[in-house]
Amino acid sequence: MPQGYNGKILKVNLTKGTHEVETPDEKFFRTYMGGSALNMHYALKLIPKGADALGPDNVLCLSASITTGAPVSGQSRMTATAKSPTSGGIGDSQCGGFFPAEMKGAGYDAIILQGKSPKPVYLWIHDGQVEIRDAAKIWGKVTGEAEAILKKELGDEKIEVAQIGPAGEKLVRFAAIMNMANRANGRTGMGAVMGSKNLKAVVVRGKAKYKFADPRALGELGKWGASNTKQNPAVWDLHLNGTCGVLSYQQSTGGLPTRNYNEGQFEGYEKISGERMTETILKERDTCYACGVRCKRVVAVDERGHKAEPLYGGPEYETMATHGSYCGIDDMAAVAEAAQLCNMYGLDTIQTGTTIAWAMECFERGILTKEDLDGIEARFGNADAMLALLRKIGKREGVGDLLAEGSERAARKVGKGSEELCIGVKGQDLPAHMPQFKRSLALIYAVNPFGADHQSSEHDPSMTEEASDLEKQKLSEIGLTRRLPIQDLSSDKVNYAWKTQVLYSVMDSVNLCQFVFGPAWQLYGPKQIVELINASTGWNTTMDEVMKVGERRIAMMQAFNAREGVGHDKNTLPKKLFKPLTGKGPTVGVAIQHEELDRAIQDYYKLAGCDSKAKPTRGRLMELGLPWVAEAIGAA
Amino acid sequence: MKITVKFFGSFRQRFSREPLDLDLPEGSRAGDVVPRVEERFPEFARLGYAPLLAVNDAFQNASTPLQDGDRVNLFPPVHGGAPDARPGAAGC
Repeated sequence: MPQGYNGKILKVNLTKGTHEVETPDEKFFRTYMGGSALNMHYALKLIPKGADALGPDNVLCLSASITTGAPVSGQSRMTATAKSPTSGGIGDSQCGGFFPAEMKGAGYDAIILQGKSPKPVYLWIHDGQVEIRDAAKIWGKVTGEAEAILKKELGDEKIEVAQIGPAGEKLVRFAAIMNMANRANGRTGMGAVMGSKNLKAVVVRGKAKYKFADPRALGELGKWGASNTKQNPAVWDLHLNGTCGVLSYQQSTGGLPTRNYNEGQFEGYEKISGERMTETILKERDTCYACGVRCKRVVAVDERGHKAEPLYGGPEYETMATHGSYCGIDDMAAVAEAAQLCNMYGLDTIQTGTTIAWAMECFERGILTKEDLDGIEARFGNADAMLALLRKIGKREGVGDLLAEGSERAARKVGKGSEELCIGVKGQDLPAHMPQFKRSLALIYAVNPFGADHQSSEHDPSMTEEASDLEKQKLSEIGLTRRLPIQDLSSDKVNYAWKTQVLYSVMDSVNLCQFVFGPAWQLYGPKQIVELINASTGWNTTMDEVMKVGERRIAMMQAFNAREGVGHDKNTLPKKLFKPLTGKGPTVGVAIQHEELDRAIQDYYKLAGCDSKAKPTRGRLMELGLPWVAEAIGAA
Repeated sequence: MKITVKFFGSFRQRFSREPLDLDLPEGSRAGDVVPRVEERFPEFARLGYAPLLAVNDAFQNASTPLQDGDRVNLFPPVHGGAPDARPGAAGC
């Protein structure tokens, strides 16, 4: 009898309308644990080389993990993985909420979605039962409406829904999978993949009798977290002010991306800060299953024509920055409305905001005219223009059809130097943590297999001399004891980036929230991740074994990309980052240097076991127990 | 000289939403605002960690000289870690 997991993987063939259940052994779960690593096993096995990311051959994998549903903060996460329509390489994205725990309760550790339904459908999975149902009533509906219709149709207010909005249906390349109407597997276009399969929603409900090995130990771990949440200043700030609490801090580092990443400070930052949100539009602090941190925001806005309803949650920091400072907009009500629109249409808020910011810079420079933009005067600071472009993207209407391709593809069509204004890596635009300030992110943004991502490694401040004792103690648990300046990118910093990337990779496989678990300032540290896994499963795993899971996931992603031709030449940064920052503040004049990045990338390949072209070596894959991957990609 | 102190993060809820106006002697440094804040809010002395100091929207160390009219923002350690407060580090 498995402990910590159901031992069941549901495979659904949407073309044929059939399903089957795989029951992998314990070794399989100990090798992959869940989430992203487990998904990569299926992605590599089932997605044929060269498959169209938006075609029926792509496979969308949704996974919980061996710890999902435990009575501990930060464990209810679901990972979505498939070939990405933004990069052509691997796509991967995590989401919290109640869906992950409910999905496991419905009887399955993972759901593997193959083929394409001949008509719009949704999946109804309850207590192990699987039904493919007609989605005619909800196709075309925004997420909040679809959720309400599903609750009525199924007669159950407690269903959990992973769904796409109209953006996913219309194959906006950066469409998200929405968890209910207020959380998102946002990045890398997983919602577009779901839409390409004519799959509107996955609905789950159930009380599967999976059991944890040591409920008492889990209870103790949960209690420890509850009693330490308020004592951890960074985590408590997440509770009080949400992720937007970091915005004012970024301003004082010169690392708040402003006007399409040309500047690192925004003069209107206080008007869109987390503190201001708490004092004005915040209605509630929401949470994920069994989590005591409660970092999710619920806001209500009805002012100057801008509206936002609590049903759609509230803006995260990334949303506030990409629709705020990236666009030169200091209007919190307008950004809250933008967040709601993204959640209604089912859009990655980061890529939506960055694409609009790119269009705004094109407009400011005369590359795109008012006529090109359907009459919209897209100047930096024009909130109405930002919202109008967002609506067009969500509907693929007018110029929105061009922007729905993302800035990189749009720039290829527009030309006229607009390519120089893009800020993407592998088609995924940069999040709101600037690598000009936090230098290890230059490396991670460049080499991360699914593009620029701020949640794939620990950021530089935790490695400085000034870091807290808590940060230093936790980093030492994974062997990191050197102290380095934020803007250092020496081989020691590369080692920091690699080791923390591996731990974050573990967390994306065990599906742990990176605000609650982590190697530095978070509530729980690396050793407690091992404790959580052992208490959930009854295994006697070690830090070394767990870190291998993280390395395995990264190697599988690198192998997938190598197979698809997304190699070393894509592991770079946008040209804009090599030019000095302008504006005001401590980062004016700062730029990434080509030489430092090139050297760091080659140092990184050595640590990761890749050749000089980013392909994992045969020896590396054998060491990680992946001989079948070595065969599949012809590793040397 | 007149210095304005503003509170950010959890400090805003714990201490004050409103800015604090201080009158400091000439030659004062950024760290000199801390004892003055502690006088006004005794709990500030019992934080258990050092606050982060930003002068006119740039993190600085405690020895940074202040000038009349400066604004000092006080932060708790924020998720994403502490900034590198050594002089010149942020702009190197």
